[in-house]
Amino acid sequence: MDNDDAMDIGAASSPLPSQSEGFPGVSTPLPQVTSPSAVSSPSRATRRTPRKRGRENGTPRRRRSRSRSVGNPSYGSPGTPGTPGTPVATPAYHTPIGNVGTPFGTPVGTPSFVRGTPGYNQRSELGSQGRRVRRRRRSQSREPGRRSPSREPSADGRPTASAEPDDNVGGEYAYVWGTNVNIPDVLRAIRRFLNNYRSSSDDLDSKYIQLIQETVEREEDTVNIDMSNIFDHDPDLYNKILRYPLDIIPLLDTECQEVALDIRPDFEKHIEARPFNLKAAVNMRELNPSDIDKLVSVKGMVIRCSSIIPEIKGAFFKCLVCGHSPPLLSVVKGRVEEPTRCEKPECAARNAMSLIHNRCTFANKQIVRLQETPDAIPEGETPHTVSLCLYNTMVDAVKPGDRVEVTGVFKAMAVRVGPNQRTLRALYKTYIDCVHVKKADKGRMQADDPMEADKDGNKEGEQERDTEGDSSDAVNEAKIQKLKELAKLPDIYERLSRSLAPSIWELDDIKKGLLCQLFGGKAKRIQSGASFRGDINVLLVGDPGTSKSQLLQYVHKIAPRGIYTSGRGSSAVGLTAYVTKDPETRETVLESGALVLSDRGICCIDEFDKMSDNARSMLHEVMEQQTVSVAKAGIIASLNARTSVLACANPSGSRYNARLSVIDNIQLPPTLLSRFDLIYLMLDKPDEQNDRRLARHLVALHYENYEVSKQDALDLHTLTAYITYARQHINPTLSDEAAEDLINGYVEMRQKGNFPGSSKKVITATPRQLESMIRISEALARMRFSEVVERCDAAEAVRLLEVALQQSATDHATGTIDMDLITTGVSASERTRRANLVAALRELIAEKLSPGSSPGLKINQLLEETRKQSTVDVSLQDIKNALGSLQGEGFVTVHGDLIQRL
Amino acid sequence: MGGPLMDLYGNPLGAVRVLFDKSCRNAASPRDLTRSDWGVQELFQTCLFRENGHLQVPEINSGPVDAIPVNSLVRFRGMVQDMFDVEYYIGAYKDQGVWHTSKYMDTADVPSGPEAEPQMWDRRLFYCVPIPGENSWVKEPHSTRTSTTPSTSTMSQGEKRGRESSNEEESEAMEADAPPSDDGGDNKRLRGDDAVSTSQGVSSAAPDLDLNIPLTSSEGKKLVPCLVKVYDGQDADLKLNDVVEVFGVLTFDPELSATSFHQNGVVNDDMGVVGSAFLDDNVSLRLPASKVPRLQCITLRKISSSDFTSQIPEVAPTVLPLDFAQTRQSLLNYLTFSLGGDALAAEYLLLHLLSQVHARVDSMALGKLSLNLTGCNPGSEGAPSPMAVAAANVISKLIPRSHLMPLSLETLNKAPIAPRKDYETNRLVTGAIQLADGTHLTLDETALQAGTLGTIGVQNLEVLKHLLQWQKVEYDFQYYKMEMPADVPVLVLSQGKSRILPTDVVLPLNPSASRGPVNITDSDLISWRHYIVKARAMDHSLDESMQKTVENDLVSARQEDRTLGPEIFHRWLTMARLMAVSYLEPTLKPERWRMVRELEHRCAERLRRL
Repeated sequence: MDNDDAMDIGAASSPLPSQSEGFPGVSTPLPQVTSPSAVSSPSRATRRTPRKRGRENGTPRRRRSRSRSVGNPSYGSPGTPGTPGTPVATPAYHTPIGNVGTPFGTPVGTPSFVRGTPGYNQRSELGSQGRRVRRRRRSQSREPGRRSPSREPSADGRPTASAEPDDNVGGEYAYVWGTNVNIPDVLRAIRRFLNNYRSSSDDLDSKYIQLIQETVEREEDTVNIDMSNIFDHDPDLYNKILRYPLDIIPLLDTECQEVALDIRPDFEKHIEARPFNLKAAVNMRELNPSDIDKLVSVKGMVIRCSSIIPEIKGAFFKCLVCGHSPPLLSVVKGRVEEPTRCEKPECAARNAMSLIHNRCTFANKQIVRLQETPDAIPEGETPHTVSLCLYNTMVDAVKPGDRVEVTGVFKAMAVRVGPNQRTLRALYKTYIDCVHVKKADKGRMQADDPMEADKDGNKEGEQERDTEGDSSDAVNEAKIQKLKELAKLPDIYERLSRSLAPSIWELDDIKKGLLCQLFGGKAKRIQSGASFRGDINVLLVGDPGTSKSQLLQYVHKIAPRGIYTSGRGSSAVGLTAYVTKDPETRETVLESGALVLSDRGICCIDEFDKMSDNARSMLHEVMEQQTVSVAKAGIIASLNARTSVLACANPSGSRYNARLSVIDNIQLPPTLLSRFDLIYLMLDKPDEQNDRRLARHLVALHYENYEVSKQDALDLHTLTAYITYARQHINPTLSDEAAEDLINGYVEMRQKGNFPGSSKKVITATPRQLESMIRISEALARMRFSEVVERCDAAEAVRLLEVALQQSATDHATGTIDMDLITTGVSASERTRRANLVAALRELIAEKLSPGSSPGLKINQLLEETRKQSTVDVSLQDIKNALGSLQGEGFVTVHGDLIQRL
Repeated sequence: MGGPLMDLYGNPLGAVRVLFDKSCRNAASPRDLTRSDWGVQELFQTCLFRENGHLQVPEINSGPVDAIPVNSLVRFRGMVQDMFDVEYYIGAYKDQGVWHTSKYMDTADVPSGPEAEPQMWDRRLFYCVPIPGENSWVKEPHSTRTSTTPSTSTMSQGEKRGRESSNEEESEAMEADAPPSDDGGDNKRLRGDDAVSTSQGVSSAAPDLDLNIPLTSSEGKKLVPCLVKVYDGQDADLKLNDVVEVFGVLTFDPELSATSFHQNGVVNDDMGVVGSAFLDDNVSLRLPASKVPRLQCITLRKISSSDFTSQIPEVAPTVLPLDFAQTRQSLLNYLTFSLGGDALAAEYLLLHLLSQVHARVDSMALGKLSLNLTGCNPGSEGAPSPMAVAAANVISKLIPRSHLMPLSLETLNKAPIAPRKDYETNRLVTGAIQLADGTHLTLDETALQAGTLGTIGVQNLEVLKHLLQWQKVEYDFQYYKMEMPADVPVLVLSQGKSRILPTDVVLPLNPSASRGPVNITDSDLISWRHYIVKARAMDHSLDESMQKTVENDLVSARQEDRTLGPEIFHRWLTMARLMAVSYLEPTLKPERWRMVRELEHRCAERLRRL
């Protein structure tokens, strides 16, 4: 294998042997002995960094020596004996106990490391693990067998199981300590994987060779390795990485670096492999001692981030007397051994060495606290948390509130009594040293750009945000298949509507409307930049006790993103956005309100009627333009609020008054009302059948044989998954026939007003209703997982809209749909009635009163008189309204309730 | 084996040690030790739960903790207020070639170095507070019991000394009290110098440390929370707000208190900044051991609100009053009297007291019956309404846990009543309605004056409203809210109908001329309490024919009166269930249904008259 040979050469070519990294960590399975004088052994040489790395690493190239205490003794480095540099009681490492990490196997911090062994190459997240970086000149590469053994007298800490150094170094007998994992084998396996893995059979190049090439070209230093690929290619290697990440991930690094050097021999960075996408993410609360030092993957929500901690990696000292500076001193055990005297023989001043901060090297590090996501918490328990250590590029990649999936090594660190005491507290702190962080957007509805996930999945960069896409696909394939099968059911539409709030009986059409809202239409953006919303807004108006709130709660529960708010408590700013001063920084901050927060979700507003007019007016912009504009305190911003609004309101008199018009009942500004696609009146109609069903339903509910009614409905989880999948992956387009049908439906609806021989022109439907129809039909197609809106969708959309309109816009004077009622609040027949009343009053007053005469006429008298004459019921308010217009004409004056003719 | 009982109570760790040594001899490898608890639970359980052995264990709920010798077996009854993360500890290690365990201990001095072969085990940490709202009559039997317990000599000595509160004395006493350890010297706890030096540190510990006790004790007694460490997955079905009785070893390691850590600087030298950052998050280390005793749980059991009965052994035989009907009537009379002679209100109150959430369907909580009694006069000058006081008083005598909350602007605006997570300290900050299931809550709305509600006040009202509607409390986890199911019957007392708090039943109170005082004896109270417990535990069902009857009745009622909606039907069905249960009947009988309709009729009439 060429590795060995490479190491060999590395050793030979390393200009400054003393610069080879120290591997202070006891626990490192890797060579620890790096005393300058140590004879290079192949393995050791591998990790030797050539001098120039030191320079380049002025930027924090982190290795973390403090973690040494955390090391896992089980892989303790048995190889140390015999190396001059490590006088430490090595036998200690020979007592590995299963997987129980003994974090305090620390005695190794021997001074010999401390000096002259700046561990530049250590990879922080792997603790004291030495990072093996090989420089290799290909021209010189030889087969391992040809390597001259004489150069490697000691097994310098290479986790070889065998103690005899000379013969098997680098040979087939190098094992991960305490296991039968053969390191050369592993290296070969990794190389095979890198060389041979192709994401699809017709790819010419290996996926990872390509990736590394890209990395090299971009001058980056990380390669994300999808563990599921490794699993597919070599399950054995996968398991090894999982079980011995501390040993094997550095090997991954090594191999990647090899590849990089093949690509560009002068590549100077050190590639780090970042494995991610383990087959199974562990639930945080299932982590247990047996996971210590294993590679785990955990999902959670970031709740706290520490500030960035600069970790000193190399200390630069300068003699105050002579100005001499020794080479950078590496940090060992979190400490720098300050030289007590100048090492320049001619100076040798005591206590003259001073630390020069700006010439030290530092690494970035951040501690982040991760908490279980709400859905992972069993009912009645509080979320668990776990600390994460993030390094270098991962630092600041996440912020509080982010949902992430991290891959890393679970570690434990002993808590010590005191700095110098030999004994330990019997306690550990646990944390995860992250190798990979992925932000997850799972569960959010992504209406616009569901395909934003990069299908190839392996973008470079630390914070690759592959949302759904690649990672979950494999795992979820079965799930999706199941959803697709569900979608094929002929009665899926009915079934879905049954599954929505099954505890609420009946109300089928309303549930269907809500379903449409949940699925949503397709948002369109035309080239001119104008966009059409795909969100469907629904208003429920109904008598108290018609389970409006329950429906709302239910929808809120299903919509993964959404805010539930009550109109009563909401102010305009609470809904939209407001500007505050950050108490700490005094910076002006824009805080999002409910609508902005439910961007791409559903904003449920209960008690819509109780909302102040001011707050309601904010909704105009949101419901049509889908943005929120703020101009305040120097901030002018327009925030996206692509939200569907689901509002429910009580009729104005708290109970629906059938004698008043719908508008009078709803008492909402018509401008707002017209922005709702579907307005449902939830009225309590006397109907014995209905009552009986209700009674049965309730009795069953209370006496627990209720499950029966739930049959063949989808459970909440499936329903959510179904909706999410549909919203993400289905983007239906209108078929020509469907479009035709919609147009016909619309035209028909508009014509209805002209119907039964009435001369009055009643506007039946407005273009807004046509848009609504399109959206609804798209949502219906989505429900069937159909990419095409079919005629049946169009027909159902027309029907749904009609059902909703019939209830909401029936002019009860004429019985026809009257969209005018919605748009102006006054129906056409109402307008003629008012005109008639005014005329009648004019006559009446002209009859009773002569101009200027007093006393005038009382309104009440007038009302009685009118009622006598009129066939329809006339209210006092009507009279007042009519008088108002008469007054406007200058026909009468009204003082209090006294009317006088002018 | 365990040896005499006295050892178990006085020196439980000794017994653990014996068992450990024994299984060490049998175990092939140290890992085998993890798999069992070496029979510790079994041993203790047989001793504790046989012949009321548990009553002999001193309880640390009442009385000063200092009085109890460290490392002895104690009992603690409390509510799980917060759950901390899993703690990893060195469970077993070798010292000079011999295995030792530090299970059931806070800390151990494990020699560093690999020859110790430390074994890493884990345990769960629970922060338990004394049961909020627990009424004194429930507590009494416990505390009296403890004091009369024939205790070990060490214990009484400890008590005596404990009263003198000097730190010096205390640690001295503790040292003297240290049970003679029959095990190797390695197991000795930190004492003497250590204890003295650090207890000084403790005394200067942050006084404002929030102990997160939801309700302060009405008697002004100092309530002691406990940090319970649970082993071997005994926490499996433990939930937030569960009430548990923990039997465990009281440990006190002064070094683990915050100040000592400060004195020592950062604990681990080679952790540097990182180490301290981690420690910041470690709550358990920041709670001073003097204020929050550590309890190493050996065994625990959940207790429900009805479990108090098992703890009054002397009345246990009378638990089943044969003529419960009479008990019911006498209780009703008592309630009637307490409500100023309003028999109808008393009926409702009885049903209300029996109500509990028996099922949840979707978001609906079935079985709750919150009650709003209107027509209560506010108390003079900010004092709580006399009716509220009277009602709360009555309830506190009948229900093991209850609480009266005046809804004044001040209390509403003061602090959030719903628990919320503080990520700075990584703790769940409690609120007044973090209550265990079955805790009764009386809200005195008459205390509400006109005025401004702040943000907190509005939120608090929302929380209460949510509780009333769904029997759920939203815990604020800052980035999201988490709904915790609750089962807290709420009684609202107001002047007019409460517009703020939606209750299931609204009933105007109609006090008549008060009758002569009813004589209440203790035995009355006891039989009432048992009656309530019994009734609440009843199972209930509905047979086919009755189901038809009810359905028909509902339909015809609705045909007559369209205003009757599902909400009212829910109420009726709930009441029917409670009514049957109040007669200790397992199925609904037609006459109970009729009674419910009758009650509702009278209630509606009263409402109309207003």
